[in-house]
Amino acid sequence: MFKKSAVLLKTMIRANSTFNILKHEKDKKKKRKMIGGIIGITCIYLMIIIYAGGYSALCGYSGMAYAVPASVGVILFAMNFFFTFFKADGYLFAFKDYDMTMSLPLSVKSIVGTRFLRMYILNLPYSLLVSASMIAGYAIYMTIDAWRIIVWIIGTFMLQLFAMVFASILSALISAAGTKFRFKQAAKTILTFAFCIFCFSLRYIIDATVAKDSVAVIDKIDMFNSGVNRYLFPAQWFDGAVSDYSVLQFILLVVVSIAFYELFAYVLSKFYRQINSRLMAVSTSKKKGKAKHIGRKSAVNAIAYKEFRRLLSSNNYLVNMCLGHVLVILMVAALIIFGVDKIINVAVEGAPVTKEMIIPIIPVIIHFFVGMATTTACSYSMEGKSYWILQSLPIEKSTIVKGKILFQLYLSLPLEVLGNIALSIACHAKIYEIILFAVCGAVLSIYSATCGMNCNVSHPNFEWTNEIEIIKQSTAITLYVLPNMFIMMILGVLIIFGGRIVNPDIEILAVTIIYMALAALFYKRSIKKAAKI
Amino acid sequence: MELLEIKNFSKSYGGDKKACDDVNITVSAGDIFGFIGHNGAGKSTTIKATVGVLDFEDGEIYIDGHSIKKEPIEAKKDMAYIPDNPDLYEHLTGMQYLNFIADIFDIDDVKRNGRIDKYAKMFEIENALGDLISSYSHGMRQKVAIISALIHEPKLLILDEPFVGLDPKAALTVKNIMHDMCNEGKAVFFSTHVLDVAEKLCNRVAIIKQGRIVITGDMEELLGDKSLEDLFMEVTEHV
Repeated sequence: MFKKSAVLLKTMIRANSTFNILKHEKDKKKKRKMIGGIIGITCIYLMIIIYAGGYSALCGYSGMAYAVPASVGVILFAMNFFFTFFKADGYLFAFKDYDMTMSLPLSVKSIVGTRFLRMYILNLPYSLLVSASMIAGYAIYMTIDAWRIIVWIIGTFMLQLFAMVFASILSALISAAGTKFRFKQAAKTILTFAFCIFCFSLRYIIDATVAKDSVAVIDKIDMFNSGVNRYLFPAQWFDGAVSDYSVLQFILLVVVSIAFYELFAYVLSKFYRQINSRLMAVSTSKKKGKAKHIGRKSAVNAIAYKEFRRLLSSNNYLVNMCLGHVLVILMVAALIIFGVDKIINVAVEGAPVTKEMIIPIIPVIIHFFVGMATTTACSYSMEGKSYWILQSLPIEKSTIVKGKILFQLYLSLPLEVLGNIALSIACHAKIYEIILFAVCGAVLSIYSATCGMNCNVSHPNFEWTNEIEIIKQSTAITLYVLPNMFIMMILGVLIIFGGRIVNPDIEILAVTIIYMALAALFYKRSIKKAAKI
Repeated sequence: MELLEIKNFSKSYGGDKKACDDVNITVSAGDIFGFIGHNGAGKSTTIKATVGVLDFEDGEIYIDGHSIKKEPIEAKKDMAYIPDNPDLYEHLTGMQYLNFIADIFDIDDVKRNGRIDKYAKMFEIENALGDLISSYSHGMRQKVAIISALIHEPKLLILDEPFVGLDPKAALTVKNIMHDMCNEGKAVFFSTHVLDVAEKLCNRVAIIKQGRIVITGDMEELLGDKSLEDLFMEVTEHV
C-alpha cells in the first residue's frame, strides 16, 4: 500500500511540476516563459532569505539572539498555518480528479495522506528557506553545534507538519460544517472569513495578556513570541530543544507532530467520502423552474459578469481575493463605531502614533489590504480547459483582458476610494488631501488590476487540475503578491521619512503619477502579450 | 459560394512528424461535410486550427472569405464551434452561459430570448436552464453547447464528434437542424467516427489518415455501390 501511495504522490507532483513540463515541452517559446517564471520565483526566494536572515541578524544585533528559536517556531507555524488554511479545502476536498483517485485500489487513508503530503512538499521550500536564513543569522551571535543543527532541521519539518495538520483540521471542519447548510458555498465562505478575522484579532488578545505598557518594538516581538509560545506548544518545544538542549522537548515535538498527523489522517479518512459526497452533491431541494431571461450587455461587461459568477462559485477564490476587502470594510465600520483614536491605539498598541502621522500613508494602508490580491493575476489562467470558448468567439484578446480588468475594478476601485475617503475624514485630513488620497487609491486600484493581468498573461497556465494551484501557487500570483506587499511596506516607510524633507502631499502626488504611468505600461503590455496566447 | 476553405494546411507540434500535412478541404453553402479518420489522424487538430483555437504556420484557412489568421474576428462571427467534450463554464447556469454567448455576438434581447426558448424546447432542457452547468450530465452540457452555437445563426457550424453523449431524440434534433441549415444556404462541417450517420447525413466527405487527406469529394460519387465503411477501410488500409 505504501508503494502505491508513493506512486500516486510522485505522479501528482510530477503532473504539476514545472521541471517535468520543462523537460518534455518542445515549444521553445513556452520553455523560455517557464524559465522566466523560475527566475521570478528565485527572486522571491531571495527576498525571503534577505527578510528572514535580516530579521534574525537584527535580533542578534539587538542582543536578543536567544529569541530567534522562538521566532522561528512562531513564523514557521504562522506561515504554514495560513498557507495551508487557504488552500487545504481545494487540495483535500472535491478536487477534479477525485473520482479517478478514489476509484484506484488505495485505502482512503492513503489518498488523504498523499493529498496532504503533496501540499506539504509544495510548502517545504518556503519553510526551509526561512529556517535556513534564520539559523544563519542566529549563528553569527550564538554557538551552533551538531545538536542545534539537527534539532533545527528536524524541527523545521515537524513545525511545518504540525501547523499544516492544524490548519487542515480547521479547514476540514469548516468544509464539513458547510455541507450542513443549503447554500454550502456561502456558508463555507462566511465561516472562513469569520475564522480569518478571529485569527487577526488573536494577536491583540495575546498581546493584551503579556504586554501592558509601551515598550520598544524589538521587545514587543520578544514578548509577543513568548505570549504565543505559551499557547503554541510545538514552537515552545522547538525553542526549548534548541536553546536549552532539552531532549525531552525535542522528542515531544517529533512524536506529537507525527501522532497528530496520523490521528488527523485516520479520522478524516473515516469521514472523507461523506464530506466529499456532500460537497459534490447537487441540491435536490432547490426549486427547479424555467430560468428568467437576462438583459443584454456589451462584450467587455459580459466577460466581467462571467468573472463575477466565477468568483462567487468558489470559496477558495473568494476568500483569497476578498480577505483584504473584508478587512477594509470592517475597518471603516470600526472607524464609524469607535472613532479613529481608539482604532489607532489598538492597532499600534499604545505606541506614540497620532492620526496626523497616519494621514500621509492613508492610500498605502488601504492599498496594502485591498491590493494584497487581485483577480487579474489568476483570472486568465482560471479559464483552464474552458479557454476554447473565448478563443473561438469573435472577440479580440484585448476584449478578454479589458473584461477581466473591468471586473477587478468593479471589485476593488469603489472600496479603495471609499476606504481612503473614510479614513481621511476620520483622521481630519484637509479637503484637498481627501480628494488626492481618493484619486491615489483609484490609481493604485487600476495599477493592481493591470499589474496582475500583466503577471498572468506573461505566465498563463491552462493545464491545471485544481484551481488552488492557480489561485495560491501559480508563478503569476507569486510575482504579483509578494513584491507588491514588500513595495507597499517600503513605500509607507519612505513616505514617512521622506515627509521630513518633502511635503507628504507632494509625495502622494508623485506616487499617484508614477503608479498611473506603471498602470498604463502594464495595460499596454497585457494587451500585447494576451494577443499571443 | 465557399463557406470554408482550408488550403495547404500543415501543423506540427514541435517534433519532426506533422499532425496535419498539406490538408485541403472546401465546404460550400448547402453542404453537410463529414470529416472522418482514425483516432489521432488529425481531425481535431484541423478543426481547432479552423476555429482559431490552435495556432498554425503553414497554409491558410478562410471562413466565408475571411482568413482565420489575418481577420480572426470577422471569420469567427460567421461560424460556431462545438468541441467533442465541451468544457463549459460550470459556475454559470445554462441561461447565464447562453446569455454570455449572446452578449459576445451582440444579439438583441428579442432575438436571443426567442432563439433560447426555441432551441431549449427542441432539446427539452427549458426546465434545466436555471441550474448550474456543474449539475448537468454530459448530454445536457452538449445540448447547451449546441444551443450556444446556434444562438447567432452562424453560416458555418463546425462540430467535433457532435453525437457523442446525445440521447437518440437529441441526435435526431441535431440532424434536423443540420438539414435546415443546409436548406437555408448555410453549411455544416463535422468530424465523426459513426460512419453510418455520416453516410446518411453528409453530401460530402473527406477521409484523413496520419495527417493527410486520402480521399475527398461528393458522397454519392465516392461511394458508388459501396458503403462508407467499405470505402473507409479500403482507403485507410491500402493508401
